[in-house]
Amino acid sequence: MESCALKDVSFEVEDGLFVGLIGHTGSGKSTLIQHLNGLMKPTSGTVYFDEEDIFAPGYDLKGLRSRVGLVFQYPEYQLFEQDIITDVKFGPKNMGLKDDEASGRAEEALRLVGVDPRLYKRSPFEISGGQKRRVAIAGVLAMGPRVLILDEPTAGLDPKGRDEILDCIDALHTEKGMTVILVSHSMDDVARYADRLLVMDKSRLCYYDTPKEVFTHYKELERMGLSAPQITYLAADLRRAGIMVDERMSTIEEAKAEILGFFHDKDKDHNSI
Amino acid sequence: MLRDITIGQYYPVASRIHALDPRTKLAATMLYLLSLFMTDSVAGYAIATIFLFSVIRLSRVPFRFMVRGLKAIMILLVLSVSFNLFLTPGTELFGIGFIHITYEGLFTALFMAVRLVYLVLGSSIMTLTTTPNALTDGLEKSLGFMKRFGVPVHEIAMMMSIALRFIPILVEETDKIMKAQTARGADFESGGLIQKARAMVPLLVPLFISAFRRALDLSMAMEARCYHGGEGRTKMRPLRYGKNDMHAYVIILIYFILMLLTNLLPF
Repeated sequence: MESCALKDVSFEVEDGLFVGLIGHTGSGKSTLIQHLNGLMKPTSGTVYFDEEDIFAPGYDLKGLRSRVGLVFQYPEYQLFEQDIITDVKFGPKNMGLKDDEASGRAEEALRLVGVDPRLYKRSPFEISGGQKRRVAIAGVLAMGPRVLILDEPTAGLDPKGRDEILDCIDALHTEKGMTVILVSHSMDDVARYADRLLVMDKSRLCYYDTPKEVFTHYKELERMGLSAPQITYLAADLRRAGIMVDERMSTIEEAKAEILGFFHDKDKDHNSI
Repeated sequence: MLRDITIGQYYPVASRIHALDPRTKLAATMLYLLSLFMTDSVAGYAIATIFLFSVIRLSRVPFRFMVRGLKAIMILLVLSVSFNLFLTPGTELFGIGFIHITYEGLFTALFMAVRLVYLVLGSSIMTLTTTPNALTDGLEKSLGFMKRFGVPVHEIAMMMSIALRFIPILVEETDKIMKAQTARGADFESGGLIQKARAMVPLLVPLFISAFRRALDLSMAMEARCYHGGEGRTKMRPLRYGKNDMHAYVIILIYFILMLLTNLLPF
C-alpha cells in the first residue's frame, strides 16, 4: 500500500517573508518542511534555494542546512550536552568553526532567544521547559541561518512562554530580516505574524496567499478541519447584525480599529442630521 | 532504513494456524524441534518434510517470508556443512590434494543442513503466525507453574510485551532525533570507527532520556489504572483451548510418535 505524502506542491518563498504553514494533522506539513533543507528527497520534483537545485549532485547539503535552519517539534528533546553553551555550539562546530568563534555564535544566539547568561553553564536538563525550548532554538540559530523553519515551536508551552517565543521569532524576522516559515495550529497566531499563508490539505497545497485572502475562504478551511481566526468569525457575526466592519479583519488590533471606526462614522452621521 | 527493522515479524492473515492458541503453537514447536534431533534416518526426514510443508501450506504465509529467516543462519549453515563435508572420516568418495570427501561426510553434511533449515523454518512458523503479545501471553500461562518456585512469570511476561511494544516507538524516535541532529549539521555516516562512535552521542543521549521519560510516564499511567502485578488480574481475551487446539495436539503427538518409530527402521 503506497500513498503520496505530498502531491502537486509548488510554491516560491521570497526572501524576507514570514510564511505561516497550516493544515490538519497528517496533511503533510512536517514532511514538506523536511524537504526544504534536504533531509528528505522527493521522489519527483525538486527544491531550489537561491536558484540552485539542492538535490543536484555535488550540492553542499551541509552548507544548506546551516543557511536553512530547521527547528523540529519539541526541539528540547534533542539537547544532549553537559551545559547549555556547549549544546548550542554543536551546530557551529559541525560547520567547522573554531571553538571561540562557535562560542561567540552560541552566545549571540542565546541572547537573541533571551536566555539568561547566568544559565549558560547549567545543564540543559535542569532548566524549565520553556527555557529548554529556547536553548534548542538557539542551537539552530547559532548556525546563522537566513531562513528559519519552525515546526509548531509553541506546542505544549503556557500562554506566556508561547507569546515570548513568537515575539522572539517575529523580532528575528523584522530586525534580522530572516525569512521565517512557521508551522502552526493557531490561526490567531499566524494571522498576527504571517505575511503569507500556505494551507495544506490531504498532501496537497490548497492556498498560498496573504492571511486575509486565505481567511475569506473560512468555509473551505472548516471543511479541511481548520478554522479562521476568532476575529474573522466576529466580523461575520457583526456584519450579520448590521455593523458593517471589514470582513477581512483578522487581528484584535484591526477589529478594534474597524469597530471604533464604524461607530465614529455613525456618530458623525448622527450629528450631521 | 531504520524502519525496515521487524522483530517478531508477524504475518497477518487468517488461517487455522493463526487461530490456534499460542500455548498449542509453543508446545507443538517444542515437540517439532525436539523431533528433529531424535531422528537420523531418511524416513524421519521425509515425515518431517511432509509435516513441515503441510503446516506452511495451512498457515497461508508466503514461502518467501519463511525463507527470509534463513538469511540470518547462512554463515552458520555454510560453516557446519563444510566442516561435516571435509572432516568426517570414512569411505572416501573422491579427494583432491588434502581435501577428502567421504560418503559418510556427505550424508552427515546433508542431514545437518536439512536439520538446521527445518529448525529455523519451524520456529519462524510460530513467530509469523503469532502476534508477539499472544506469544508472551502464551508463555506466561504455560510457565505459570514456575511462580511456585518464586519466578516472577507475570512480571517477566509484562516486561517482554512492553519491550516489544516500545520497539517501533523507539525506532521512530531515533529517526526523529537523527534528523534533528542532521539539521544541526551532525554527520552519522562518514568518518572512521571512533568518529562514528562519537557521532552517536548526540543521538544516544536524547534517546535514552526519552526512553526513561516514556518509561516513567507509562509506569505512572499503569498505576493510575490500578495495575499492581498479575495477582487477581483478569484478561480481556483469556486464553482458552478450542476444538482445533485438541486436533492440533493429537496431530503433533502422532507426528512425534511416528518420528520416534523411525529410529526402529533399518534405513
